[in-house]
Amino acid sequence: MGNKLQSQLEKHKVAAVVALVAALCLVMFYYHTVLHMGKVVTHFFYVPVILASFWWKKKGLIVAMVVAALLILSHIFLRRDVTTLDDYFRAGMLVVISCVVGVLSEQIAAAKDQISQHARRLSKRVKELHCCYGISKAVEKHGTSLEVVFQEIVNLIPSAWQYPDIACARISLKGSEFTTENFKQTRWKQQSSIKVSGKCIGTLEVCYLREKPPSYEGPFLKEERRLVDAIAERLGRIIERTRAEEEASLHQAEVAHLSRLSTVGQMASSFAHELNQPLCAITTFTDGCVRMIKSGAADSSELCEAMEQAAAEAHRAGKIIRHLQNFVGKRKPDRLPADITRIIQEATTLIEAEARQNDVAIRLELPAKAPAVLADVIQIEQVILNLARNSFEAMQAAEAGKRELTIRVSTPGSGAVEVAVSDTGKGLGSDEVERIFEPFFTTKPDGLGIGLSISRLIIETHDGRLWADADARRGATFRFTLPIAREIQ
Amino acid sequence: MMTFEPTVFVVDDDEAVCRALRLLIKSAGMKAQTYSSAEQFLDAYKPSRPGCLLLDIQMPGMNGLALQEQLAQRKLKIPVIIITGHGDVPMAVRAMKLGAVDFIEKPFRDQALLDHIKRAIDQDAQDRHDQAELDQIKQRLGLLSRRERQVMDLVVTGKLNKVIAYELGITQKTVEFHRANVMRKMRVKSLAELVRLAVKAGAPESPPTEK
Repeated sequence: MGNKLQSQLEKHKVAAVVALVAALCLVMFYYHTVLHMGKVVTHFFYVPVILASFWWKKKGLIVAMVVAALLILSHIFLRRDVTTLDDYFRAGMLVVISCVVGVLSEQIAAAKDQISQHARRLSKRVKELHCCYGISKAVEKHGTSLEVVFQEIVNLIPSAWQYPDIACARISLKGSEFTTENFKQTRWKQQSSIKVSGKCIGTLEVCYLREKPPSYEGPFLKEERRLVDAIAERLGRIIERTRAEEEASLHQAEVAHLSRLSTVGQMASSFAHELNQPLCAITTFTDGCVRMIKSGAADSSELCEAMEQAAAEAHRAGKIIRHLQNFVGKRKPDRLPADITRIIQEATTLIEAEARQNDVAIRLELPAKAPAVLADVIQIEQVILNLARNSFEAMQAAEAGKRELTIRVSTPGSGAVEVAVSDTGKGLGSDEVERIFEPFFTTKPDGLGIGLSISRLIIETHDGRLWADADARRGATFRFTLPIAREIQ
Repeated sequence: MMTFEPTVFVVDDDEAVCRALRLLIKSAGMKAQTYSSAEQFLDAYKPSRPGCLLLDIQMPGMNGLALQEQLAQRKLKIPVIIITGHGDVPMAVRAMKLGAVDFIEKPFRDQALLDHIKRAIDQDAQDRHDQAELDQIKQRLGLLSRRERQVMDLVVTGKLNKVIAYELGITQKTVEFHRANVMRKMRVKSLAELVRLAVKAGAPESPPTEK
């Protein structure tokens, strides 16, 4: 379509120049033959010559030479005077001017060409940058969900190409595929492989649905090639980062699990004691019943009561074991809305035995209704257990009867719930307040020193904070915060 | 002294274990009295009641060892059987050194426990009998005059009347007179019996002041 317009314009231009030259010739003829002063008309010939050179550059020179020849010839044949140098000079000037204008015109055209090339390149760059920015935003917004991120990215890709309307894209990974709505595999395609740690795990394809309109291609093809590779590399890195984060989270879960195993191992003797009590009660009840039956002095209601009590003790033992199993079990960390009071109560049942053995009174200050927190129940129990056991240790030197562990829940605002674990032990020095959280720092002769650093790691993974208050007079208080679970939109 | 039926006193902070033990002891035909803390037991116990004490070592507040120390301080001689929860040998050793007669680990076999209890109750009965006898001897010793006491102390060493008379600076006749009184007041019929009583009474006490 553009071509048709262009050829029409060309025809007009040719017609105009020819018409102008013809008209001027006539005028000159008139002036020469009738008025005998044709010289002044020669200046008018500059107009068509300049126009021709401007439009047709080097070809305009032909027009100039034709006109120059016409002038000389007309001078010779139409005028009666001698053809002076002045006349030849005038004719020559036409040619010179034509050359100059032709050259200038060429340069202007070349410059215009360059500018338009640069403009196209710039616009291509802007589209690429827009695409990259879009990718970054998508990753930021949906960081954890790879599916959503990749679908958004694949929809952004066509806009970075030269002809976005007919471009389509596809990201193929092992087991999943993300495409733009209009995707169709065609023979006009560019592709790049997505690599993670050097291994190819998928491909990125960009296809044109139809043949591209012919245009000055050269550098664009190369740039689009680079863009495809760049985007594929970006995708590879996104996958790598997500995998690393997942691994880190698994490691953290593994560390927390091992820490729980170690804690339970240390508490083994108190757990064994806990279980021994109901077992002893059961055997004694049942032995007693057997004796009563054998001696014939069995009162069936008394026997019943005894057996019921034995059964209740068996259930009690089962509960303790279940608590243990729940606590120790290796699970994928699961952060769900949870009731903090319930978590504290569960943790309390786990430490009851040790508390009794250490002669510590446990006091709970729990609100009637606390907001739900986003937490992995077992890991938070683990933290409370760790803090409590540290407190028992710290209170060893305190007088019997004055050992108290208090667990308090409060909502200080700012979208978090705060849990404070206080003891009446020897407290912390101001220099210890931060040091105790360092890994392998311990004041116990046989301690590993990682309990608190793991606890802090767990709380920080929950987007909370764990810190200690130093008040050597009244014992230590450890506080941690957990974010309140917000309604899922 | 009035004798009561021996009672097994049980002190354990675990309620279920207490109830179970009460049932078991009852099923063996004995009396049981349970307390959930050492303090409760100390408040309620009267030394005149025979029996034995089943004591859990691990308790909050006053634990088993502390109770044993209290019993020693108050000179309460009730036999103690220790129940331990988790094979805590050092604690069991300390308990034995503080005077426990036996220890048994939870969960225990009923016959073993009942055997321990029977031994302890028998021991307690024997102790009380011995104590009563001793009290009687002391009472009789208190009836002797100073001279009579002096004579007795020398008689039981096996010295002849003649020698005693010489050592005390009295006549042999007087010695024989005092000796007869001693035999009468102490209610013994032979020298051998007198010696036995003297040994039971332990180290010679200072003779009573001159009447």
